[in-house]
Amino acid sequence: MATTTNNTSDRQIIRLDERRHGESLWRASLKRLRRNVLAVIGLIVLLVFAFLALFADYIAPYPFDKGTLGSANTAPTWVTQVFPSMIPVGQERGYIKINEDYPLGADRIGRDLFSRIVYGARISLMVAIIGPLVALSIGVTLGLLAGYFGGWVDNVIMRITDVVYAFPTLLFIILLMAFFRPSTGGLEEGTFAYGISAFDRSTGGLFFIFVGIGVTNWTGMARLTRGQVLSIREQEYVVAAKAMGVKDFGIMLRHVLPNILGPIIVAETLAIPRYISTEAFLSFIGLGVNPPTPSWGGMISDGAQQLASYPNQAIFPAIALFLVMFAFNFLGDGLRDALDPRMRGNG
Amino acid sequence: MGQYIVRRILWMFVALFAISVVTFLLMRLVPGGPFNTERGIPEAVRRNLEARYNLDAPLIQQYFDYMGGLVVPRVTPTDWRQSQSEHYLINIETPIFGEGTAFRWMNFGPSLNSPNRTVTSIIEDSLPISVQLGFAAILVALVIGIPVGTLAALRQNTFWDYSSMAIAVTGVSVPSIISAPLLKYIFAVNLKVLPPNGWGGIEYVILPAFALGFIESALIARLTRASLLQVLREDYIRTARSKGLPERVVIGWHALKNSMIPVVTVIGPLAAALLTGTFVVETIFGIPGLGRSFVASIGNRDYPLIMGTVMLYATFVVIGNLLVDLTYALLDPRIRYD
Repeated sequence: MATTTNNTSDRQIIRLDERRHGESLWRASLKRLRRNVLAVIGLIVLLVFAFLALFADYIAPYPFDKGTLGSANTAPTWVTQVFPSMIPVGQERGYIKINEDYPLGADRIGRDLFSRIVYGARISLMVAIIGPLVALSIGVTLGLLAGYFGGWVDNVIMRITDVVYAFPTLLFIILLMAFFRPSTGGLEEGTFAYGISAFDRSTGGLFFIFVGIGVTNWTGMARLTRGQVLSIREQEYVVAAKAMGVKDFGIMLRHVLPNILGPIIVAETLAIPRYISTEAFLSFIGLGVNPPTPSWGGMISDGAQQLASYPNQAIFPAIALFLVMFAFNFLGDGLRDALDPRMRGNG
Repeated sequence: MGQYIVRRILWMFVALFAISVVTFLLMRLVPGGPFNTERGIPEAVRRNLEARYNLDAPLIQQYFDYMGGLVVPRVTPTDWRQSQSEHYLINIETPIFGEGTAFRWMNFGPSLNSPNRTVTSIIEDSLPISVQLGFAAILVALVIGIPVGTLAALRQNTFWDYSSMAIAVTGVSVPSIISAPLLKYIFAVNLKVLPPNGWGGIEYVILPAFALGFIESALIARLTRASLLQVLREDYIRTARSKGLPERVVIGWHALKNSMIPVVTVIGPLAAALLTGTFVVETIFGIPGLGRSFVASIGNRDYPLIMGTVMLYATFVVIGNLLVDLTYALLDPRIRYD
């Protein structure tokens, strides 16, 4: 994205005081990021959703899991005005029962859509935070080891990476979910599988989503990290640290890792929308979060079944999903431009 | 180079083998089975059913029986059948081996949930639909993505550039799970210009193809822009211009052709992404494609259907990845083959 508002006057005037103190990479990046309007907008959108997710209990006017049957499939007046096909009762061929109590309408068992979307933000944002952490911790560790030690370590790790990479990601996640996610009915109490499945249910089904995302998405990170390490391993400061007797793990953590962090953060931020849509997809096909915990993907799936009659039930969660993915994409783009100005305008 | 190709192809078989083993094990370890219905069936009946479908044999034998039927090609009389469920995807008549013989390959086995059908017949019905949809979506992605990316690059740092790239980033945030309900509501429910459900003529392809291809077109637009910008700075473009070639030829022929190299290489993974994206689109638009059969088969524990679709998809993906890596290696001599 090339919408940075880089002041030309800033560039022409050499500001001596700044020069003297020097500027850390991170501070300079932050400054560039702040100038990027779209990235800042993305950040604000995310903060709003994070606020919704954190304080869902206070913000949501209704519980997410209990509906009143009388208000099933109702909608407020403004929704029927936005969606012209939703004709309110009273008009010709009208079928929408008007109920102003629910700001976005109620779903087919009378649950408030707005409350469910607010609670749904928890799921998407948790995936956005923990998904990358899982992928990062596996990918960066393996990539560091492979790149730093080289030789047979490199060979073994990269061959494993190749096989996992060849796996069709979604198919694999679907199978994993089908394997882990059935109700504990078929499992014997006290076994490992029972314990892990019980743990998953206590997290509302999120645990296996993280496992699924983690085990399939670390390969790109491992490759990226390895490549970065290879380009840095022979630099003078690494050689110097080695000559001074710093242990391998010390070098990896203190000298190599901080210097490759930029591209890794950027790649991971840009991968977040993919994780979010993976969760939405899994919930869409019924292998994601356990109902009645609301997930936007599950809500879209429920709503899509009666899209012709009650479009608001699918479209509103779809808009929420779009806003979050959009915000992460803009933020990721902004981060890339900020951390690596040479990349600006490339894609 | 030759060695590299051979090694990559061998590696592809290793990957497919690993996928088949992992899929088979995962699938069989999932609690529940194809004959566990809500109401339950008598133990003896279930045993008989399992015996009929060879599900009572040791797991390893089941694996080799199934994979044997799937991957080992054979030449047999065309009417030769060992079991009810023998049905090959590929049947080529071979008069050289005598009248009425055929080369037969890929027996996907019986479908446990629809006892009258074989998995091969399900694949024969639904795969062409998914493939057509996938091709239409790739077409949409290219037809939108390349012109938008070109426009942005040629008018770099102008309004056109900023707005088309803003649209592209927006597009990247619209996976089919969002675009499918939106497009369906706008064009099928509200404007009623296109059919909301089903499969048939060209009018049924348009909405699902756009729903699938939209996010990819945004990716292609960004890629085209980046690549074209780089190419425009090359010496041969300056040469072409200084020769006095009209701008139309410089851009349309010299620049665009060379900038397509990275774009061509993403079509492989793109095709794979489209295949998986079809699950959602097929569900929302009621298209009887392979994605839906696959999702349904997992819920039903229809083992042969799960195995068959996974192997089919996996083969597509693995071949796609291979072609991409080979194209890279061919187009960019700097990539090492060892």
